[in-house]
Amino acid sequence: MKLIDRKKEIEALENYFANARDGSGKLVLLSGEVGVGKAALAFELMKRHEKDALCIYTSVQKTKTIPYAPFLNNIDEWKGYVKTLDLPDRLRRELFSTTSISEFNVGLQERVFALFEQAFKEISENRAMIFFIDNIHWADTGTLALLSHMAESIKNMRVLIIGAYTSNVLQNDKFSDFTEFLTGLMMKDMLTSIHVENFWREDVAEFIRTFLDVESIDNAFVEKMQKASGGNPLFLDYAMDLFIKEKVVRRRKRLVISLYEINIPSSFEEIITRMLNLLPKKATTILRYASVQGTTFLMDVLKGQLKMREEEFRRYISLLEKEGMIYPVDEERYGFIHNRARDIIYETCVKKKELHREIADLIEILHEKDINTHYLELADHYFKAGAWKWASRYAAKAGDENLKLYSLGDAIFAYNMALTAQKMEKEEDTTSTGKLLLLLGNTYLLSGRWEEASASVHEAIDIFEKEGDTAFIINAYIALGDIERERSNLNEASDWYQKAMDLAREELDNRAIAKAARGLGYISWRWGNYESALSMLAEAEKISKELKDPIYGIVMVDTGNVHSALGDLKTPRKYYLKGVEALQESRNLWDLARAYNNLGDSYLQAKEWDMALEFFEKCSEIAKKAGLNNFFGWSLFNSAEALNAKGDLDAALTYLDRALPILEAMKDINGLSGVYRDYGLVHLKNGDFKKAETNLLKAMKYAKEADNTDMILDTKTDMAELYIKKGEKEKAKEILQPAMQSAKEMDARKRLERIEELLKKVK
Amino acid sequence: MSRELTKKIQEIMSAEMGHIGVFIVSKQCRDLGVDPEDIEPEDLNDLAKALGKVMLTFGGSEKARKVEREIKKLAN
Ligand SMILES: Nc1ncnc2c1ncn2[C@@H]1O[C@H](COP(=O)(O)OP(=O)(O)OP(=O)(O)O)[C@@H](O)[C@H]1O
Ligand SMILES: [Mg+2]
Repeated sequence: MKLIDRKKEIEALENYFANARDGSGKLVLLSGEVGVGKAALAFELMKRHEKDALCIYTSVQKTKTIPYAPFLNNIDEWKGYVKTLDLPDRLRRELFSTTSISEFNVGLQERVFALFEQAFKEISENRAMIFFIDNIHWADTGTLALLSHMAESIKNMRVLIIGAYTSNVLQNDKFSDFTEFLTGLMMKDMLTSIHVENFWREDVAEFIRTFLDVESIDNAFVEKMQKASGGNPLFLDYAMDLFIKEKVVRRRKRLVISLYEINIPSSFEEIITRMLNLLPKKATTILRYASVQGTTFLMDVLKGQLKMREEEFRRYISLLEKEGMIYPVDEERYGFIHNRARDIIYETCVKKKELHREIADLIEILHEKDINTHYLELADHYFKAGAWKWASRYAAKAGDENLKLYSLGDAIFAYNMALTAQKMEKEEDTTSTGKLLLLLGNTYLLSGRWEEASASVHEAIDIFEKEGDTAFIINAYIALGDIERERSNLNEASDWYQKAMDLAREELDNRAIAKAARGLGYISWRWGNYESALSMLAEAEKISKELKDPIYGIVMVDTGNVHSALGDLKTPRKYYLKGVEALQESRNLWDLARAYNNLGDSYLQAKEWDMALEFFEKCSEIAKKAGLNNFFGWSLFNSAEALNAKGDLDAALTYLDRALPILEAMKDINGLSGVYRDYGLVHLKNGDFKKAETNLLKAMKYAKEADNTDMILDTKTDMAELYIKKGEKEKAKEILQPAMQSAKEMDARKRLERIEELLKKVK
Repeated sequence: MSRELTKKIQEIMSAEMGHIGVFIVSKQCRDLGVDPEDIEPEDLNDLAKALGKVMLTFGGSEKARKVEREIKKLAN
């Protein structure tokens, strides 16, 4: 059927595609309520360009299977267009290899992203591409990260990615990963969204006329349909289809029957129920069994349950396909076209528990070979069957798999499921519960959910202490140190690292010693105790180098920071560059961004503005692709500082204006104090002393909140400079003397020099 | 007082947009040259229009009008 209305929306999409075809790719989102016609719009665009573009459709399924599924289940459709022939295989190898999770696996995700980027690049060198992902609000966090990465990567490719989502989810807490994804895009100024709305009355009339292929239509009927559907195309489409199946209307026949004879459904549920009543009994049975599997279903499992003859089974499947109930997803699976239909059918099932059990057992038998791609499904079915032991076992595996691939939201979901199942299974907690809690805690830590991280790890420690598992206790202490450090609770962090250190030395656990030493070294640096920082970090360096532990790169960056705080200009760079090399190797992008940021900073200190800008740009590039919003914000305001120093005040302000909302949304108090300080410095130069003062005061407030001694000292010195410029020497003096004292205590040479210089001016 | 206005506007946006609402408010403030920590009643008109426009691409015209109306109301 032809598309009704939607001129504006199609025009917008056509524009985006034209740009993409000319080499400026983009991610465009379609939002709107369920059934409003988001997919219909994307399909229309794809139909118009099926000759001049490679069009790929994929849909995120509500029933989760594996991370990155929406990018993976269509490889066959594009593999013929890439130059590097083994690219698909390399992707599959990375994703499905059965390496176990041990340390951080950031590198794996990066390799996978790089491979997808390369694939899209090679395809687009060959042909323009439209890649449509439906229902992205259900996407696992890994897919969202990849989508965000690709949005950045396709800027110079001939690729248009369209993503459709249901706008109602924005207010729903369950979809916080998705709203975070949207926020991230918006921070990068990369959020383009088209909202699709329900039909107006005229469109409803045209829809019905087109559907029935008639010239005109009974006005009162349109009225009633408009009222029942609220102008929702999905409702209209299904209702009209129902009337035809119920034989109350016919195509190409002007409606003449009396309106009172047509029983207009009052809800979508009613439409589905009435449709099911019209299907042959065996077909509804198939739908019931399928609905227990989920929004998509494995055909071999379904067949195994039904004990139907192959030919008969095929016949009913194609009937259901023809009736618009199901569609083929890939070689193994079919899916329900509309999830609400699936939900309604599932509700009518009896003996659900037994069916879930049967499905799980069949998946285990029939998919033994690639069982690691079915962990989450198995866990879910065993859970719903009340088979707790199996549910917890598979859920834990699913958690590991997702953590390994950095799909953190799903990892958290799976670990929680495993824990619940374990609690159902047995009264007593054991080491395995503790291990799960520790993994869960670390996953929360990686996703920045400190409260939950801390609660999980504390719970784990209780169990380990009861069981006397020292090795795990040490790791849990380090995790708590990391959590508190990330939260800027330096005192608490220091206590946990120290506890870990004491125990690790007793147990001669070198790896743990290195980690604890790094943590303590970092905190000493933040407190301005540079000497003890250097000795701790030296120990961490020695051990991690020997053990080839990935923490080595991090230690190098930290060591650079201490030397930089000591006012040394050249030494830090040496360490940062060593860090860059190691971190590139371990693909630890978070710390790599930090290394570049700090390199830029060291050039900033040396007043080499252009070099500084170059490194901040590198930091920003990594941050944008890896979704490290904090570093993106930091690189913006650091660039602003360099621009300010270069005298390009307008550009500096623009950068700051972009940085501020980002850091505010991240509640990054260190970053906020930095931004406000830079605003202050720009206005200090501008001669707008009032604005300079307000901003410096804000910077000070945040620096204190963050317990950031360096920043407090810097901002104080700036304030003094401001007062000198205003001619208020006494006020400046009042600030400078104690500042000099703390600079001396901190042994901060550069800062001391600046203070002494200012002091000269007030004497 | 002015911080209170910020809070109320953030609440209005978050009710429709969830978490992302807070970010949108401070971003639109910056684009209009308004200090998000210091919104004055006379800024409300422009801000309401700007936020309504953003809302249009996420939640459609009805919600856009609602947001605009509610923010303008804060001026009294
Ligand atoms: N503009 C239109 N003209 C004609 N038919 C339409 C139009 N928009 C949608 N439809 C029909 O309405 C039904 C629902 O549309 P579609 O599946 O595109 O909605 P959606 O917004 O993607 O829904 P969901 O939220 O369920 O994914 C489809 O059968 C589609 O063909
Ligand atoms: Mg859809």
